[in-house]
Amino acid sequence: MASYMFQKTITSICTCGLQKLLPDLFFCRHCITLRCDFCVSHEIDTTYCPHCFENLSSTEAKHKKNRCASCLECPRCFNTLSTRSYSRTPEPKKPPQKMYYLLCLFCNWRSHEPNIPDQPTSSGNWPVNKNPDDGRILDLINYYKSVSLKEVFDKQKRNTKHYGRNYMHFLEKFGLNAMMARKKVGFPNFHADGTGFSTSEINPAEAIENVPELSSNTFEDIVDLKQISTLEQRFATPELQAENTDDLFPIRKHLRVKHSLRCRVCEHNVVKPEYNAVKFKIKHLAYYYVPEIKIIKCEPLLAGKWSSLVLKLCNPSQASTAVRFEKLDLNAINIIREPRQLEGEDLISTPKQLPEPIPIVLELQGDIIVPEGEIKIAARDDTAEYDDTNEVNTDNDDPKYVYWRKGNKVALKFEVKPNENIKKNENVQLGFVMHFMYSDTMLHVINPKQPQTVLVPIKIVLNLPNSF
Amino acid sequence: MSSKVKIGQGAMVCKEIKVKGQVSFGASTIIHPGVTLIAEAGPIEIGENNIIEEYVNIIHKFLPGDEQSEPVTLKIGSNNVFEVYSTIEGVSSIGDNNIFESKSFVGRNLSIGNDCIIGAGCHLTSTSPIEDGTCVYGKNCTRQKAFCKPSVPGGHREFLIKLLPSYHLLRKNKNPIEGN
Repeated sequence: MASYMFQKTITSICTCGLQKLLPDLFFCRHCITLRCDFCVSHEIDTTYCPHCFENLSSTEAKHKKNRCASCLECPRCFNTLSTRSYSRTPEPKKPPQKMYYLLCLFCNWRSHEPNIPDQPTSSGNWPVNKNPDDGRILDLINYYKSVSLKEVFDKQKRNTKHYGRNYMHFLEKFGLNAMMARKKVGFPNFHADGTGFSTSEINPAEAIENVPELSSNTFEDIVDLKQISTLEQRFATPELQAENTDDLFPIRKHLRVKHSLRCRVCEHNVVKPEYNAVKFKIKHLAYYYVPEIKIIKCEPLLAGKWSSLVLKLCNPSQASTAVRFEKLDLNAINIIREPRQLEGEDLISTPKQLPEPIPIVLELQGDIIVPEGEIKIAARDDTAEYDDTNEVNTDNDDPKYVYWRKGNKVALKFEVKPNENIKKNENVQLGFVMHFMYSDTMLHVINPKQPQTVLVPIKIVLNLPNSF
Repeated sequence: MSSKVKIGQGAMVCKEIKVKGQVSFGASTIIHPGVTLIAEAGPIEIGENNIIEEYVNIIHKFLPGDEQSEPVTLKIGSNNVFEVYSTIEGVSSIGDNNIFESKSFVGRNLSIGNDCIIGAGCHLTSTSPIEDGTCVYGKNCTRQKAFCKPSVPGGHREFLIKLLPSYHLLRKNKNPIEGN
């Protein structure tokens, strides 16, 4: 069902110059233009476990190494493990004891003794497989941390001469206040300027002489592929990399991140998820505002001949809109117009320019005749489906261009002529500009006004298959 | 459709199944409606305590062009479960205690041992036999050791025995002497 969304037949060109599908685009209501995931800034909102939906703060997540404390993953197929119970009688006279083990419902992996002993509680306290080199790794990490700290100190030392004669900022910068406080209490002073800063010592890795020999039949034994873990399984736990499937340990589930997106030009939020729910506070996807275009009929394309093309436009927004079409001018394609702005817009900060717009390189393989004049599209009405007497005023429609209309959908006739030198089995790329009427329904804080309407141009590229 | 069906004691075979050729069902085997059994290349012998769920295809045919060969019996062991829409095509033999999960496909000339699990959607077309206690899973049909014997939840069989006859017509042996 969703596959039609991934067909690159109809693409829109984002403000930054990238060709994207409509479902991949966002719509900034303040800049009134398209944004894609390259022209918004991504921010981490919350971290959560994809299985138990527990929200964790970023420090907590960092402390737990970005893994969930309670959910486990199958080491064989990486699906979530579930807990199963059975009862066993440890000694003949005692009452039976309920024991729990882990089972993957997808690949039937189960936790097995003695590696992972069955547990008497359902919550588990499943043993964590300790890496034998944990201590060494921690030492190294601490060492590198101190080295990077030293680098920061050295850099600061070099920069001090630029401050001129005002030394007041040193009070805060090098923690002089804190130093004074320490002196008062009687603690020894620490070298905040990094002069006496010393990195902790680590003993370098040593090579050993006597490496255990491989057993003589290593190369002769028949390999039992059933017992050998796949590369995927080994890379899932890079610190262990068990070779035998018996030594696989359940993996703690990786945490995921909910990210909010912010327009890089006006710094307003484009997408913001809600805390503790699978919902969004702000969700300005282009899919909700821009009329969706679908091809419903396309005559066989012949080189140098006009053939008709019927496109269906569907208005997804709750307000009625109007569209106007224009031919795509390849010479003016890279000119970025000034950001559109509503009257009385309350700006958070002055609009910035996008870092670097990508130049659009487009080659058109044909000519297109677009419908003239303004074509109105009714608002989306969820109840219209159940209403038989849903008549749209078709008086103003030019039958030359409007094929049919129903509810918030309208089918429009276009004429397409591929170039003379078009090759067979090569897609015909065509483009046009669609201006659609965006009516602003936002409530303005500073001066409440009547809803305004703005014409938003969107460059559309069609990639028509030419199989004749 | 010419068919010879032999139903063992306590076996439940729904009427809405397609059978072609000679098929025998072992004792206490449960066959759901919508199952297709084609025994063109020789008889199919289904063992005891099997559960064959809806829309399972067990096809025992010769390769095209090979129709004149000697008939071969396809033996399916006991305690196997064939889940919904699993397809068995031209398999050479199937052991005991196997589970064929939903929409799995087992191709020609493959023999399956005991205690195996063929995962959901696995498409097996190679001819290297599946050894005892193997678990096949995932889109690449990875074969690895199974850590537990496949089992049907307790009570499932009793539930089916109770429920199936109240909603479906059951097939009976044409020759009363053979069965009961």
